[in-house]
Amino acid sequence: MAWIIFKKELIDILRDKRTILIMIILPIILIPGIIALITKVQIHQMEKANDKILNIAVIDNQNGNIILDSLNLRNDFNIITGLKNSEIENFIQLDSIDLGIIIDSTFDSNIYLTNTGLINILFKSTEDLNIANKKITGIINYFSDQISSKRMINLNIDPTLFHPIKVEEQDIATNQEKIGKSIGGLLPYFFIIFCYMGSMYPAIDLGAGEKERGTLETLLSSSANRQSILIGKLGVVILSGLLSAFVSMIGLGGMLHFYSEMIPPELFNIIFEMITLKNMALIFLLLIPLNIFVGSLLLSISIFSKSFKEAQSLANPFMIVLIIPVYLGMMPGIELSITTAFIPILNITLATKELLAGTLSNYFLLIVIISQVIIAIGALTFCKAWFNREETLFRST
Amino acid sequence: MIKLINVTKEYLKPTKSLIPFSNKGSIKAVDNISFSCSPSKIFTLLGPNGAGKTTTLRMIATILKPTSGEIKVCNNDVLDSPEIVRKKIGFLTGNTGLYDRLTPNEMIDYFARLNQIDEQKLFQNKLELFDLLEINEFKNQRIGTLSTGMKQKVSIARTIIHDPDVIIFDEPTSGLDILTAKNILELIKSCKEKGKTVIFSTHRMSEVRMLAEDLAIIHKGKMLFNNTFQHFISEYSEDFENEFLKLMEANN
Repeated sequence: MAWIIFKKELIDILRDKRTILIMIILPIILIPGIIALITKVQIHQMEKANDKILNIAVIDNQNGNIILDSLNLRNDFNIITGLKNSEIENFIQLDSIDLGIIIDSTFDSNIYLTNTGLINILFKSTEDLNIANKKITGIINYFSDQISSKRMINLNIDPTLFHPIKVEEQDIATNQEKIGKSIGGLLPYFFIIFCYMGSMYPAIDLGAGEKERGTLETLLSSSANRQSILIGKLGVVILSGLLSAFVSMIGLGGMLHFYSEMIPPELFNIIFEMITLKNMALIFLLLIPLNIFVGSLLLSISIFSKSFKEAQSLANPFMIVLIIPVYLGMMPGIELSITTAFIPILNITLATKELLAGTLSNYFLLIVIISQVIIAIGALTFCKAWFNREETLFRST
Repeated sequence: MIKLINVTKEYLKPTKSLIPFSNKGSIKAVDNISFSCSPSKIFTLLGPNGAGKTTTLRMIATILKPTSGEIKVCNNDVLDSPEIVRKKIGFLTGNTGLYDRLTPNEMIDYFARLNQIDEQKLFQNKLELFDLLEINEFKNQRIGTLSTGMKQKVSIARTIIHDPDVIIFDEPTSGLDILTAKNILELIKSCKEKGKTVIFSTHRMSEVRMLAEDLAIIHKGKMLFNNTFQHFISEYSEDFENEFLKLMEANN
């Protein structure tokens, strides 16, 4: 009986253009497309900012020639002189000048007397990724280091005297671990969103939609028992969520392949090594109980609602509840532990990170699965009890 | 055969609280009613909106459970054997209750299979019903594209595809035009002629005059009259509408 209902609900849902749009087209095209577009725009902006010829205004007060000469040699700087301090400030405000350098009138004498020479830099930190400031500060620091070294040599002091400790870092984390832990949090974020989005519309349509169309009464008066009706409906909701997550996986994979030229080959290889069939299958295994949980709660909300509109307004805040643990899992410092492994949703994000980094132990994997299965069973039980309540099905207030 | 003995149905009181079901008070939608419907007779449940007609019919159809009392459909208790009861009933409301994205063919197949009739019988019944109701010409069109009249025909076919012994009509003509309503009234008569147990609810006097044999008047959940229509006319007066209103006022 549940199979008859499942088949009918699936046909019904797949004939709805909105479902196809949300469940298949959106994850496969739109979201990867948006991510690709944002990445491309960001790269373009960074390149534009790096390639831009910067207008640098200088008031040298006849000091600091060594720095000025070095600035003049650069192709990416257009050095402007002869402006007053207040004019530089105005031009920076108007974005005609990117940065102003004011070398103090006592700069050379101070350097000569082994004192500290003063250089003022005027800039707007809000402009073009702060590129001008970074470039100029880099050049000045270079000269500062050179002057320091010369002074020490003149004083017969070994420069190493001022570096009593040398730290040599040796990162033994593999590239897979580093990348896995950084992008590992993003994958469940996408999958959970798509599980939710893919399940939401069918859940609303098969519960509140059925009430709105007046078909619920017809269905309840047929020989099918409520358990079969619920299994049939829930099956479609869960399948839709999983299908949507699967399609998003294909979409993201496709995007990765499409933009493979933009990714350094070494990084590209590591990513492909991480996305193995085994890893993807394990992520899916984690998603199944999550999807049962999400689907059961969405269907419960939908059954409670009197109309499609009400169900939508009740289901939207539920997404925030899902996303918060995912965000927490993406934060640095939050690791999979005996405590976090029991926190639903958060544990999926953390487990996925560990899985892709290749550091997930079977022990934690088992705890995460058990924890997810427990909440899935809880949500299922609630949904079943909820569906059997007359006050829910025929709610008047 | 339908038999109701001292049936009461209580609902939670409607509340304006933001917390669902927070009000624990209850109201009686149906208050200790008893009646029985026999095969080959049309039993009419008459009452204004909110009288408790739909609640009564939903309890017979096992969609709602009675708070107290006993309901039997073809000698099967609605609480003990709800699935057997549902197999024996067809339920039709004014709202067609159809799936817009299915075709009439798919819709009928779906409900026939839910009601567990075998494929051979489904084929035969569908053939007869589609011919009788002239559904063949639009049987493969999506229901959403059909006119109200066409939809009502599909709804009728859906109700009787499994050849139920008991047919429940819950205000079946409400919101329908005269022509479509006429089809429904014809169906009710034909069900009676085929020896089915027919119960239908209405608030329209004209329909009562046209169809009623056994009549029950219900108001605010209470049974005010339960006998034959002829008995009502002979006991009270020929002015049926006026007498009906008097009964309502007395109950107020």
